[in-house]
Amino acid sequence: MRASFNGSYPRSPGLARLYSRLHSGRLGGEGFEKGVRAQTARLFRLFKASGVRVFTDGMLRWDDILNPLTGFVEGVRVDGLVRFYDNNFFVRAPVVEGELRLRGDNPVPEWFEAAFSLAEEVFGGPEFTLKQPLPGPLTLAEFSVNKHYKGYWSLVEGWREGVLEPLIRDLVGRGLKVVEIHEPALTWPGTSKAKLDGATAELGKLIRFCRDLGADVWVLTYFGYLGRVGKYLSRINEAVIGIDPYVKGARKAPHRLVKDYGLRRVMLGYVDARNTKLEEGKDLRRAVKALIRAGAEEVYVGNNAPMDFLPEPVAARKVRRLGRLTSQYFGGGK
Amino acid sequence: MAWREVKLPVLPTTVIGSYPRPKWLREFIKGVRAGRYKEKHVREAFDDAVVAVVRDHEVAGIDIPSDGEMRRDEMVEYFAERIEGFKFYGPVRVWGNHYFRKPAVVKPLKYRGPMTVDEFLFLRSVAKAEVVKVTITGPYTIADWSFNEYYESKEELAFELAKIINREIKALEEAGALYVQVDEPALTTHPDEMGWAVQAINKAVEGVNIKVGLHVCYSDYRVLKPYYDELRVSQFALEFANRGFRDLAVVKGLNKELGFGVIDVHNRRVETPEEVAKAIKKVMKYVEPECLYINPDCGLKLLPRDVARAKLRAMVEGTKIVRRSLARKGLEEVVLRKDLTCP
Repeated sequence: MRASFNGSYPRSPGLARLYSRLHSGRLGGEGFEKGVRAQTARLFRLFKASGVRVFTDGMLRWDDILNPLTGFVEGVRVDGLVRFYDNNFFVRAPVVEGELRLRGDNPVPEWFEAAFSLAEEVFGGPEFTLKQPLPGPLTLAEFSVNKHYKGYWSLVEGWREGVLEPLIRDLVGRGLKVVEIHEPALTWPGTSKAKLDGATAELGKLIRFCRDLGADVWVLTYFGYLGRVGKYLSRINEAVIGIDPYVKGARKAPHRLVKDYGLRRVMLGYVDARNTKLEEGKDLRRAVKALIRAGAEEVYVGNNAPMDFLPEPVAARKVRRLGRLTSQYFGGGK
Repeated sequence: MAWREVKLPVLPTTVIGSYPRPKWLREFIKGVRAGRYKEKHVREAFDDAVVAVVRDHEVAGIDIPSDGEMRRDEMVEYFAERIEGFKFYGPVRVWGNHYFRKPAVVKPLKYRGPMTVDEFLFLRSVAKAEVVKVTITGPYTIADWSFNEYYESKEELAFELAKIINREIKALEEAGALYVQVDEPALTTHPDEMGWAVQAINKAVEGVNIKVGLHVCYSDYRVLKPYYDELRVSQFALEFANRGFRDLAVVKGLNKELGFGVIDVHNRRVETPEEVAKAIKKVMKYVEPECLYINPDCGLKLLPRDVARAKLRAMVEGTKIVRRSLARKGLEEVVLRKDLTCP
């Protein structure tokens, strides 16, 4: 059992000011890069001090799970703000006006390389796993305003084949070992149930693509009940599957999901990224043991959702708590 | 103060609430935060800004102005700072590089006293209009946009807030306000909570004898529709320009007034009066003109002030085009209504 930090860490107002100075021309590209590196290194030092060895770069350069990636895709015009599920958080939606194709100037692989080097510096060696979070094809399609593709599934396939696969190939070529796919659309009640069959089939193809390249895959769902995907989970259970235990209307506890749907690799989102209240940890040991008894062979404990929704000081406290609880109960945080 | 009927031109024009702060005020606030000015000067600066905003509204020809929410940094934050039981841990991003200080409820909530009455009294003292609008963030949105560390459930928190908001609206009524708008942008985001959320709003307006509007924006109005009758307010102020006036049929069967959003507040392009008029004529297929108010989609605070001003002018001019055709049919005036149904 290991601790994992997933997705985004709150972009501090200090970093936002750097963006503002960059956009207004008061700060050059070099100064900006220096600032971002300093913030990322600070985050990695937090992970190291907390005993969290599996993590992302905090997505500090991302405005949200879709952007700026969608801005580097041919056939896309980035449009107005739309609500990110039931949060008071908004993302810019892509309007798909042509064939989807990843642009060569997309900066994500370079950002990964830079973050990897920084992590090596901070950890003083390869004792860490740096994951790359990416939006899943279903989530991308659900947020898209489709003005080009004739059918919905062509749109989903366009995102997978035209954007995600070339990006992942590039990233793996630069040393990426774990792809973290964010698919909240998969469990969100607003996504039609009729789409789940096709969506998991598409996701299964993406997972196989990654594994053929030699990369492991995590699929993180949040804000919705994983059991909704139920019978289709076997298509994606080669991946580490994220379970958000704080969703409303969950009919089965996480360990029941593991047992009933044959999940072998799970990330229990024990740290609630949507509430400032700190987790006490009393029930963590029991929850993890139940997962293992139910058949989980590989268990991670982490945040249930991106941490954008928290103030940065609270997020830092939660990361420290995550590391402390996992090492205290399982000795596996470090 | 007793309710009184006030005559208004047909299709009364109003704002949703917020308006861009003048640049000098933004600089001044930075100065206050940096300790360069004294707190005692803050009130004077806000008062001056309200005078400027009301003047903008009046020059544009708005019938029912607001104070532009000049004293409020953010719609939840403002109330959370004034209700006992909230704590602020730091800013949280809303999108891109935009933040708000999302509050956390850490102990029982308690009403400390009026939060908006002074705002209203000053606004009324400087506005020429007989009716002004005061906005209050609703209990559901405050609950949904706060972290809940204390109450057992969001529902329990929302009902505690409803009691507090109810006291505030009654304080405004006592001070002479005629028109309060409850802002609930979060209302439809959790469809499964709509049943109790509607009851919380009704609790917040219980026993109130003035006009109460309800503003809901950037929402799926199909979720709201089943509750049209149940909500004890006299008007829904909804956003339609942002969605290109699609989905207008959702107001079919509405038996209350509609505050019709005709100005997109997230786009700097200024609408033409003709576009506004066309939209109003379109909605009149579903809502009687006697039951229509004309407003922007939402608060204008994120626009440059000159753009906001131009948009309000276009809105009023577009409304006048429709008024002229209504005048030919003998319909020139309506009265301010507090009834829960219209017509």
